[in-house]
Parts: sequence; structure tokens; C-alpha cells
Amino acid sequence: MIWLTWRQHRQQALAGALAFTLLGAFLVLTGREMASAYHGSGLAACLAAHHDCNDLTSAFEGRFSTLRALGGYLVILPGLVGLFWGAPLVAREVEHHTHRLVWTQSITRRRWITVKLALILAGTLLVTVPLAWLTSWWLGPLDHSTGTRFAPGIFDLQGVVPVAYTLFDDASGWLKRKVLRRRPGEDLGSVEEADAAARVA
Amino acid sequence: MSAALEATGLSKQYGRHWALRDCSFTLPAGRVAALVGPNGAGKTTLLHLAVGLLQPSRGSIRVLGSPAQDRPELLARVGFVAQDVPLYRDFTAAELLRLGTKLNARFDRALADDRFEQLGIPLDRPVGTLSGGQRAQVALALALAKRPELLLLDEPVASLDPLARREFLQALMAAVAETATTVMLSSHLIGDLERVCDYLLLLSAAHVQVAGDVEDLLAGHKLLVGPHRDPSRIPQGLTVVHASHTDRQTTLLVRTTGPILNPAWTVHDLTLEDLVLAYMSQPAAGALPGPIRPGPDTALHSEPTREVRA
Repeated sequence: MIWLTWRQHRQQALAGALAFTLLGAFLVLTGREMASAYHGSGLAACLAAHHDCNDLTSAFEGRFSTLRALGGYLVILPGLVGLFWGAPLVAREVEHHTHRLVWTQSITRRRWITVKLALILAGTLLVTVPLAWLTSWWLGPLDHSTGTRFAPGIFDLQGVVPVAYTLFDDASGWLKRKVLRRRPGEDLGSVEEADAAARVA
Repeated sequence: MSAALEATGLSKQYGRHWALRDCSFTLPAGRVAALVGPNGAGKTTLLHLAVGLLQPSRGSIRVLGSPAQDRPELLARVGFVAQDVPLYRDFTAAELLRLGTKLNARFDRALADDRFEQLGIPLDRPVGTLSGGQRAQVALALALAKRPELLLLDEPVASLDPLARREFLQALMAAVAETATTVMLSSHLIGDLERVCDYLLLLSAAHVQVAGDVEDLLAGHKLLVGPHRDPSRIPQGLTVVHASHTDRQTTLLVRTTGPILNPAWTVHDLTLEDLVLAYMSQPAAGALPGPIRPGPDTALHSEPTREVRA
């Protein structure tokens, strides 16, 4: 069953791993640059000493405003994970009627779904936890320069929050396809909708 | 002889629609049964109930002596090929066999390998790129490798060309001839199954219309052709399933237990296809021999068939 799950989802897993590696590399490179500018310009020391650092702050902000804007797009990642990993988990089987093949081998449906969900969950955690940690580190200098750790949109990107959102979107993608029998094309809209609704709430 | 399948008052309801209603029948072990009926008669529902993919709304179905359920011990004894032969199309035949090995405690990999070699099915190509006939053979091999005591096939040849149909049925019969496997295969056309099956289950509009041994059914039905006569003057002791009249001639398909002695009638034997088509065209008629306990819905068997006296 573990082999089967891997065999069925290895393309998504490998594509996801590649995307997350590229993203991680981007975050590491740009993050190092930001960190060195943050410390090198004296902004870190200035903020630590509680001085008035407006000039340094605005210089730093100006230099990295593009990156900050780009960082905002990280907010869609959990939705994408839900879309590509969560939604097809059961729905693809039902669409192709292959559940009738796999459910009539000698294992119970309970075992089938348990293994599948557990592995997808593990895979999701494996990529989200490091990425969330990396994003938090990456945003560190920008947070400190403006004190916006808990601003909407920034808070969502850091610590355990994106992990939680990703799991939520995984589950919502899966449930939508399973319970509401949505067609694949509608997933993008509906997973992101649920994501947006949850964030507003 | 024990029963491979035994349905008692079996019913399945979807909303207000009954896909199956009060179906009772017994399929003895060791038989090859044709499950026939028009589209929408409930064939797929019946097979899904037997293999535990669906739960009955009412009544029960026993498979190899125990209730049909999602239990590994029972699933291991039943082979199933679903309609349209669902397979993971990006898997190669070898990967599907690996799936079989992983998901079944008892899986005869060598048997499947032999079949693929005989049939010339490549192991290393995604099964989605194989022909429909080859895919059906792959699905059959997967089901046979479980060494099932009961093999259920849902319209396995519906999408195949005539040659592939014949090859598939030959392969199936050769495989089950060596074992005592009970087989039930469905089709909306009896022509495909006439040569291979020895038991008939005809479903019509969610009910069992005809159930029984093919030989007995053929011996118990005759086609009578004679000069035109009034429908009210028909030999005694016959149950007319289907009657057609022209100005000069009357043709009756009758159910009978004894020989027809009246010389006015020319008596013809029937083929299974004739029999099935006659019943299908008369959904109200029924023939339910064998150990059937009529359910609450007995009107089905008695009301519409006319017992006419000469």
C-alpha cells in the first residue's frame, strides 16, 4: 500500500520537491543578502539600541521592497499544495473508477485511506515545516525594520501558521473533491476560496 | 452443492429510485452464470453489492457462505473486474502485478506472468497504451491471480471488437476450466455469453426475471408454430411467454413441462438468445425455477403470464 501510494503520487511528489527546492534556494540566496545588508548597514545595531533609525530603515525598505512584495505571494503556497496533493488523493481514483480496482483487492478501504492520508500528511509536513522556518528567517530583517511581525499577510507567512494553512488546504481540497464531487477544473477556485475564507475568519 | 451467491430480498435504493428490488436467487458453486438484462436493469448494482462496493438498502446477499462485506478474508476469495476495466493507466503491466502482490496475501504472480507471455502482452509499457483487448486481458489476469473461488466480471467484453471478445472469453473459459471457480459475467447482449455459460440470471427493471440452469430453461421452453388461431384457444398446461400472430400463422413461445402432442403445432427448440430476447420483450413475464422463496413481491411471477385454456 505504501508502494502503491508512492507509485501513484510520485510525479506530484517529485514536482513538488523540485518546486520547493528552487523556492528554498531563492529564499536562502536573497535572505543572505538581506541579512548582510541588515547587519552591514548598521540597522540591526541601531534598532537594538532603540535609536531613531528612520533613515536606515527607509534605505533598507527601499532596497528590498520588491522582495517584500514577492514574499507576499508565498501566501498562495498552501493552496497550491492542497490543489496538487490533497485534491487528487481520492478524487482521481473515483474519476477513473480505479477505486473499484483497488477496493476489491484483499485490503479494507479503511486501511487504504489511512495509509494514503498518512503519507500525504507526512509529505506535506516534510516540505512545509522547513519552508515555513526558512520564510520566517527570510522575513526576519524586514519584520524588525518595520515591526510588522503580526501584520495581516505577514503573520500568515511565518512560523507554524503556513503549516496549519497548508494542512487545512490539503484537507479542504480532498474533501471538496470527495464530498462535493467537484470537477478538477473547479479545484483551483474552490481550494483558494476556502483558503481565503479561513484567512479572513 | 453450496451456493456461491445467495440473494434474499436484495434491494438497493438511490434516493427514490430502486436500482434493485426484492431480488432473490441462488447461484450454485461451480457454475458459469450469465447476468443479462437491458441497460439500467441493475446488473452493475448487483455485482457491486456482491463484491462489497455497495451495501444493500434491504435484504442480504451472501457470498461463498458469508455476508458480502469489506473484509480482507472474503475479498481475497473473490475476483472482480469492474465495468470498463479500470486500471491505473500510467502503470505498466509489471507494476500492476506488483500492486496485486502487495495488496493480496494470496497472489499467484507466476500465473499472471505466464498469461502475459502467452498473450504477448508487454510488461514494460503503460497499460494505457495497450489495446482494449489487451487491457481486458491484463485485468482478467489480475483477477485470476488471486485464485478466486468466485469471479465476477462486469461487461468485460462490451467495448471489445468481435475477435477480442472471442479471445477474451476463450481465455476466461480455459482459465476457469482448470479450477472450480464460479463465474458470473454480465452483458446486455446474451450472444456473447451463449457459448460459455450454463446458468442464466436475467434482470429486468430492478427485478430478477429469469433464473436457472440453461439446459433446464431450454428444455422447459418451446417455440410453437401453427395455423392462426384465436388467442383464447391455446393448448392447456402451457404458459405463454410471448405470442405473435399473423393472418395465417401463430407463433408462441411457451413454458412447458411435458411434450407437445398436438400435431397442429410445429415444435422448435430455442436458443438461449431467443429465450432471453422473448423475456426481455415481455418484462412482465417471469421464470423462476429452483429454490427460490418468493419475496413479498409475488405479483411479479404470477400476474402477467397468461395461463390460457384451449
